[in-house]
Amino acid sequence: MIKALLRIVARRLFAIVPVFAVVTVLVFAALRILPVDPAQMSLPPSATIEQVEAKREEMGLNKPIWQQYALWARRAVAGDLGESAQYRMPTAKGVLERLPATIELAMCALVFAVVVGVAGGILLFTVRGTALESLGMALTSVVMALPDFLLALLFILVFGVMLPLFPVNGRLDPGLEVPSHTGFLLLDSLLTGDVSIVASAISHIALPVMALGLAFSPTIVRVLHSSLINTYQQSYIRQARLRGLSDREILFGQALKNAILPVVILVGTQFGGLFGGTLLVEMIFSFPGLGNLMVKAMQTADLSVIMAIALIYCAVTLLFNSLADAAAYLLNPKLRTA
Amino acid sequence: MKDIDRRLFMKLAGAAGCALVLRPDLSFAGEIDNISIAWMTDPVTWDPNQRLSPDPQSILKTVFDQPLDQTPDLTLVPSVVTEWKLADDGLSLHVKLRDDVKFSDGTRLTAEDFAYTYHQRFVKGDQVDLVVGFGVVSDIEVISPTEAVMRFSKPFPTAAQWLAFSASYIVSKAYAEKVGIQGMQTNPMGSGPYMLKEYKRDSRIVLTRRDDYWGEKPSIKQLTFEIIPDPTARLAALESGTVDIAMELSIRDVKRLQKSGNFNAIANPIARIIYVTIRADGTFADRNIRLAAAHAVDKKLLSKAFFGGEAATIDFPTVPGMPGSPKNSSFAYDPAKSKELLAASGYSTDKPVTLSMATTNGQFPGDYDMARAIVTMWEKVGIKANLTVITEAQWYELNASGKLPDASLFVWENGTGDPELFTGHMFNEEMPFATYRTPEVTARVKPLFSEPNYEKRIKGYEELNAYLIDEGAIIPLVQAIQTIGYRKGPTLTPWANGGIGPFAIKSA
Amino acid sequence: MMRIWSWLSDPGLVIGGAIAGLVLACAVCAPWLAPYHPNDQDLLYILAPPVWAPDGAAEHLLGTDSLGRDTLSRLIFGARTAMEVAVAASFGAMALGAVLAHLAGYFGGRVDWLISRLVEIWLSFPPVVLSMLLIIGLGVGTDKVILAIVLVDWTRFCRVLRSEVQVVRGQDYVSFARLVGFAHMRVIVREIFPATLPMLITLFSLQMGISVVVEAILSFVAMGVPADVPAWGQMIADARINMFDAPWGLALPILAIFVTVLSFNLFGDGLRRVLDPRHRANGHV
Repeated sequence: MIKALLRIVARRLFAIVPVFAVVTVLVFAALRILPVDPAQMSLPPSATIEQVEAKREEMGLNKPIWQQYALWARRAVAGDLGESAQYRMPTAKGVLERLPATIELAMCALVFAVVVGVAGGILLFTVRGTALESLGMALTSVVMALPDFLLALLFILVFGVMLPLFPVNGRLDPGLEVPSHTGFLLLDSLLTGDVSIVASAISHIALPVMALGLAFSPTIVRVLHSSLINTYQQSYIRQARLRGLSDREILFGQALKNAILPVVILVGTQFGGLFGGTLLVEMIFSFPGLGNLMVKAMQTADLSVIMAIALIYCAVTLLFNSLADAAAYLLNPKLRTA
Repeated sequence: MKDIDRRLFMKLAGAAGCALVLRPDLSFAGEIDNISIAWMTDPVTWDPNQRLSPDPQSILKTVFDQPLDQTPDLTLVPSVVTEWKLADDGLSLHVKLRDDVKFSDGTRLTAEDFAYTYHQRFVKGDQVDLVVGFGVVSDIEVISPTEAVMRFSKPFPTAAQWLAFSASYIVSKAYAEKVGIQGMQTNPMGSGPYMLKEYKRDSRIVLTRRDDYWGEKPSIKQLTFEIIPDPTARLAALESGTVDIAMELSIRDVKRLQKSGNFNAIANPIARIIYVTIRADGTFADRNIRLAAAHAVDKKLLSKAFFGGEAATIDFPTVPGMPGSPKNSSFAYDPAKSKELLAASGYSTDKPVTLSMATTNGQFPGDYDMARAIVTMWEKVGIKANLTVITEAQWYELNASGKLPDASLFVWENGTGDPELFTGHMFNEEMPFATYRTPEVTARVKPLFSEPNYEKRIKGYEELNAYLIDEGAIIPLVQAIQTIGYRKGPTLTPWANGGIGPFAIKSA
Repeated sequence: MMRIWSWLSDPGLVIGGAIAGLVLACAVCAPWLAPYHPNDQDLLYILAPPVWAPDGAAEHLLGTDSLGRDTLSRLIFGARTAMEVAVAASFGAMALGAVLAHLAGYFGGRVDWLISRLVEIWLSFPPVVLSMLLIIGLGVGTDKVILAIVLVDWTRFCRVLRSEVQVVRGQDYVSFARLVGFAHMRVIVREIFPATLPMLITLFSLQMGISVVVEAILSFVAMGVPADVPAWGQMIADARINMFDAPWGLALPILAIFVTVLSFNLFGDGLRRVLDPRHRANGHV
């Protein structure tokens, strides 16, 4: 059973490799169109024309574009993602430094979104047919009109200016020290055993997580709600009622695990969007992750950083898409016979 | 405890273009365990010679020493270099160094390190901005561990000023050879009063005081820089007590802090100017248009709107009170004259002349707002400017490739006070900073670079500045101000060139 | 006739439609509605609060921004920018997505495979990131923003419509048309398209809301419309710097975006309920 599971997952993962390769080519080409000279940008302002030319040669900018791509690809596989023009240090290093913060943020936001979304979906379902349901649907409409970027700004306005309950910047209170073992601040702060540090880490990540998560949960609520409605139309539900099972037993015992499938697929396919949402949310909350780095890179046309981070976003999106595919396949017996 | 009397401070600042400073000859009272400062940007690299950017200099100065230092009125005083003599032909500089300077790894600082920093690094091919100033060094002869002669391929009369300028810090040759250029960028080891204890990029820097420092020990045992790029977050950090000092706050925040009981703030004019660069070709080849653009800008209104009136307006590319400033001369805000000049070239508000302008956004407080305000002021007289936003790095690249827009808003730092590093660099067409390049200007500027006589050189710059303004080659706007908010407790005295040193903070 | 009345009984449709219509009206009538020119600076009167706050004045009902420009006028002209971009971009995305969806769903086989792979590659980018990457490549400007939105969001139309087209294609009357000898193009336009039209319109309304948000995001990061064109995203970016001194300057454009997106979403949702025969059958109108 486990072997079959792994085989399915592995097959899905292999399927995305060619797609990813095409994506790298597209992004590379798009960035090379830019009227920016990466060589000039990575040298001090007093560099002479000869020095710039020499740098261009060194960076291979005079070769035809497919050769440049091959060069990039070869280096990338070995772990060299080029050099950041604004920081003048290896891109791979800079990106890896920031990656854990973004992963932590996205994961926490995902958990938050799923918890709130599933709870909300179940709740909305239990009040079906009543006025509360219409109210609940209206509420989801309202929250759906607030994308993560607006939610983040609203939180800053409310909690930064009006009710200073949560901090609106960074990951930790200035003045606190947390030795970095895993790179994930929440884990590292738990390891210190100091409650005030853990509290500080949690309170700093709270608003960004809620901004990202709340933007996602209304869709989960709706999908689960309509999925439960569909599931309850199946005959086995009626049979379970006839057998005398209580509403709660039916819901949690039988229906939910069949109704959850569309939610799983939704999460898989939309995770890329959530992960991409970290770009703006990090910028707005001055959260030191990939998103913040990407915004600065785009403003300064730091090509190697833009390329590296764009590809990370794509890789994550593709990964979760294929995981959703695999999950759908596993959870839905009907698909398996196909 | 005594706060700084702001009025006295401003008077002194205005008079000499400088600020009060606490220097080694004043004793310190009481030791302070830790001072936390909310800072704007990460230094990015710990190789002190690598970047000329002004923001990291204060931090680098804690870990590294400069050969020469500056007093509040920006005169040069000895630091690691005790004596220096420029040859009459300006082709060499003879320096003598202290013999008691130790790097934090215990090794002695000698003239070998000096020669390595100011010559061998460039020969090796290290990509450092220090080469902008010292690329002209052809050789450094080490006479003894405490004596050396710098030789230049061209006369270099401002060599000493450059030794006290940005990126000019002495690094250890042995250490550099041991760790390589990557190691220099990540693990600094210098001869300055502090050592780097902890560094989290874009987050925090902790420095601890060295007990074997050769100079005056600062009264602060530990310095913490919290990197907070967002100005409102810096203010929040100050108000919540997590930092003692917050840099670069908005003028409105300064005024609010000044009224509060627990905090205070100063707006300190520094040796930095904000101005509009002009290209000599394209639309601005027409002198009428250049002068029309210059007369149309209401500098006092800009200062009032964006700096609370605290920024002194300037009419020349220098700071009031510094050498090179023509005396008894000014440039009027006169929109009527602008319209006249434009009409003479066939333009009016109905038929405006179009040009392009670039600005940064967020490089310094108010930059984007100022640029937009200027665009509107121009529109009112008949100049239509298309504004684009660029970064500082892009400015250099555009200028180098000749693609810089007709006008751009720029800020210029000159910690030395010498006009060569203002007008000289702005208009020397061999430098990457020049935007207005004409044969006349070059003919006037070049000789000043090799003029060894100080008075003659300064007079030359006064005349040059007057000429440039007459030609509309640049539109100087205001002298920049540095804002600092602080918790009442430690008293604070900053330098005029924008740096804060740990010497400048003492407990009252 | 009956149809229209039943439309009016759906509250979401009515409220959403009314507000959306109001926003569109603002956009069209901006020059006459706005009390000031949106770029008029008044450097002596910056960051003034709205009329209901202390120090507010009736001259500037909603206050001014950091350059002294009237917030109300900028909101109204911002609506114009948002609507211009949203309408053009939504039509573009719809056109591109619909054409490709019909081709894929109708012809199947290789065409379908190619278009589906294209969609898959496109969808491997988070939408926000893709639009920014496109702007980096295309440059800034209103037309580039529209193009970027079209190039990112066509996939939404394509995916949904493709399955609709496949369903319709299987219907008898379509096979009949082919049997009779009508050309592909005619079959697509005459038989299939009218059946997919309701879904198309619904998606269009939702896309309007999405386009408004993307335009705001792009102008927020200064990669959108030119700086002299008033835009809600730009207003937010400017107001954020001074949010402690002037929170209303930040709250008002946020509110504007929220209300606009909500209204288009409600309208789109309502349309879906009203036009979808399945929903109607279940009495869920």
